[in-house]
Amino acid sequence: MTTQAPTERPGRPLAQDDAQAARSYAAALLGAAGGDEAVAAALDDLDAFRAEILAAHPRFAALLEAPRVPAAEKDRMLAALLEGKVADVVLRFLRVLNRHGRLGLAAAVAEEARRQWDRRRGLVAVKVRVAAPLDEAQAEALRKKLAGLVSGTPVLQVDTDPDLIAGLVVQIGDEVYDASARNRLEQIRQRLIEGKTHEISKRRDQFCHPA
Amino acid sequence: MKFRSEEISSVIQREIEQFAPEVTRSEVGTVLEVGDGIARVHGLSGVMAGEMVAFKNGAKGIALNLEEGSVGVIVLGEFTQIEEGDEVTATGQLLRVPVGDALIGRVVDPLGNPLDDGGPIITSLSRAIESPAPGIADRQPVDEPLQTGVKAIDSMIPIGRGQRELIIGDRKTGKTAIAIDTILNQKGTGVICVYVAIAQKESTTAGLVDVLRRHGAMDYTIVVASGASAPAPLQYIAPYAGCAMAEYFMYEQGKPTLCIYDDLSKQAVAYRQVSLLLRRPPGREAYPGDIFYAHSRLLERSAKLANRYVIVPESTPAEAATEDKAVDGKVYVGVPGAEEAAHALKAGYSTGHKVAKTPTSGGSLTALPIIETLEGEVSAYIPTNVISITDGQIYLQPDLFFAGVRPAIDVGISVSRVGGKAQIGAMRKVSGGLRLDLAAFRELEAFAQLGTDLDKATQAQLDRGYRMVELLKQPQYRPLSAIEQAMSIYAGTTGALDDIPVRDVQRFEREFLEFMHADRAAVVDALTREQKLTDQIVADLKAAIKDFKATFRPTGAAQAAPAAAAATA
Repeated sequence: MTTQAPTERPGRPLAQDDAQAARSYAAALLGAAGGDEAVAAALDDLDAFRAEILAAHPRFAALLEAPRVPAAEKDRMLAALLEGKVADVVLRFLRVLNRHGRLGLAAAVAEEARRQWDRRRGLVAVKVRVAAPLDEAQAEALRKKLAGLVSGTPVLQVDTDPDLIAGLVVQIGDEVYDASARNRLEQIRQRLIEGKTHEISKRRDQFCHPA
Repeated sequence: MKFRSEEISSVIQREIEQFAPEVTRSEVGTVLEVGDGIARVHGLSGVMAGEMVAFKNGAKGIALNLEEGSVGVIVLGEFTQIEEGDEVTATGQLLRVPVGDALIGRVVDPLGNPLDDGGPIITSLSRAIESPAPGIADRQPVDEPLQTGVKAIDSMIPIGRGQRELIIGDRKTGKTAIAIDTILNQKGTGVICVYVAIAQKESTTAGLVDVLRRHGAMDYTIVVASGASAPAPLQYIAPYAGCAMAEYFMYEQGKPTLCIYDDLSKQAVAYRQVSLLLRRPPGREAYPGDIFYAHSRLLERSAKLANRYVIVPESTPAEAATEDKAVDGKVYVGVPGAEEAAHALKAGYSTGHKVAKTPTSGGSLTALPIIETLEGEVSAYIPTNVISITDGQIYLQPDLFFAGVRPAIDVGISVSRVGGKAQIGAMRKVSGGLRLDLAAFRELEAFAQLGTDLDKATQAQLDRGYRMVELLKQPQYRPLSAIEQAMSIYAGTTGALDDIPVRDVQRFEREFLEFMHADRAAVVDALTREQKLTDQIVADLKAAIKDFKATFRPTGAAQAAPAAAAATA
């Protein structure tokens, strides 16, 4: 069972009614799957479907989305493709989506379901960028520290970014805590520019316009 | 002067030693799409409507649309360097522009960046471009004139300080010329002028700045320019930025200010573009639903602020009479406050004290918005909106313009709803006659064109009208003082021009004013002092007109005329 929250770059935002539909389908999926184990398996299957089929074969994804292809046709394709390979509930879910002409929303629903599931279990995705890779002790210390900051269990996604020079940047939701050396250098630079421009101009004015 | 490198490094060293590193907390989002001055941003879930955001390339933006899943941001500046996936940071502030004395004489863009060659603008003062208009208690009635120097306006459509007077007309009818003349006429009056050029050709703005500079008007003027090639978001915020710059002088220094928005129809078009790109629903003429509010909240910021009075010791100089110096700890506000203060002074502090106005109170912001109409169509959406917001309008007619009546003001349908109270006494007296003469003239003018025989009285009214129209003509960049205007209009309304040929009226006026300044300076001085027509002044004026007419020679009557014209040219 993975605990990894999906954190790739967000796609184009859905229209309001599509977003509403995705939320409803996601909630329904979580309800239909039953116990925790089953939900985790279903979500993993959906992620796999998204990554290995939709993302890997965009033309097939377009075909599934196309309203001109009869639903019965798509239903046959889904069954042939996924029967036995994914959890029963996932296949049934996709077929329901198809019957309602909402197969285009599959990826969005998968994402939304994962988000709802994480929220229900109190998992909070935290993006951490560090200048140098964290060792196990540091990661543990960071996790402890973050546990106090967020309401729930932080799930770390650690990226290495040498541009930071030193230190780390933590992003929780839309909030960014920047404790990198790059940011501090930038702060010093701004302070020097702001403080000194004023001072220099004041002195310059003393020469130019004697009071 | 030389900087030594050790000095600089020691400054930096000190700065580093003092620097307390802190973890910065910020709210971010990522750019989903960008184009046409609009960026759609994912994230920024805590951003406020109207909040300023910063892009990675240094450009600023304003979050206008808060939607589920994304935020619509207008980009103020270079949007071609913003890429999909760029980080956007919320700043937690509203958009601010630099303000203060450092801006006077400068040409700046709507963000306060200099566009002229005067070096950086160094000021620590700034003001939010959007700020609420002063409330009822903070205002007082408009009672001081803002002299435009244009006879037709100051006599019949007077503008008071704190008023909003719309200048409306087709293209090329002299709208901007009136605004510029008004700025030129503020020389020496202490009025700070802000000219906001919205979507004007850069060449036009450059020419205008040159005119202002040549007439010495840049000493008290700020020009906020967003050219026709500037992104629509910048054109949209330009009037708000200009207003904020003027507001500083009104609120913080108690000065009278004048703000010219040239023109608001182009700003409306820019806002329409921004709104449509943000996918806000279009309304009438495809303008967004809040276009009225966009203009009303801007123009409502014009105000005449209430005077604040304090009772201070007699010896206190005017600029030191601040609120904390009040001997009774009280501040008396507005017109009723003045009476209360006088009463309190009489009751409590009989000698050695006086009532003084605090130096930072009583400022004003007069707005002259300009609207361009198409084919004289004033019932279009934006003109009707702005007409209903403002305290009167000055209509400019192309027919008059091409008939040589310049300024081409249609005095019949131009009005000023508050300015009358702000006229000086002399002007109020002479302009009453002028209005009547012109009204009678307009009624009869149509008859005259039929070529019918007219009785003597009608013909006299017509003749008077032709001369009055001629008298109200005025060349550009030649504003007249209120006293000069009152004298020449007095000459007209009392019939002194009736026996002067129409083509000589302008020359008569010019030479008459020269004569008054040269030979009858005492009368001019008395009028300047009194500001109204006392019996003595009226008698002196009559005598002066009679004496002058004795020396005035109509063109063609004698050889003296060309010589006199050459002398005045």
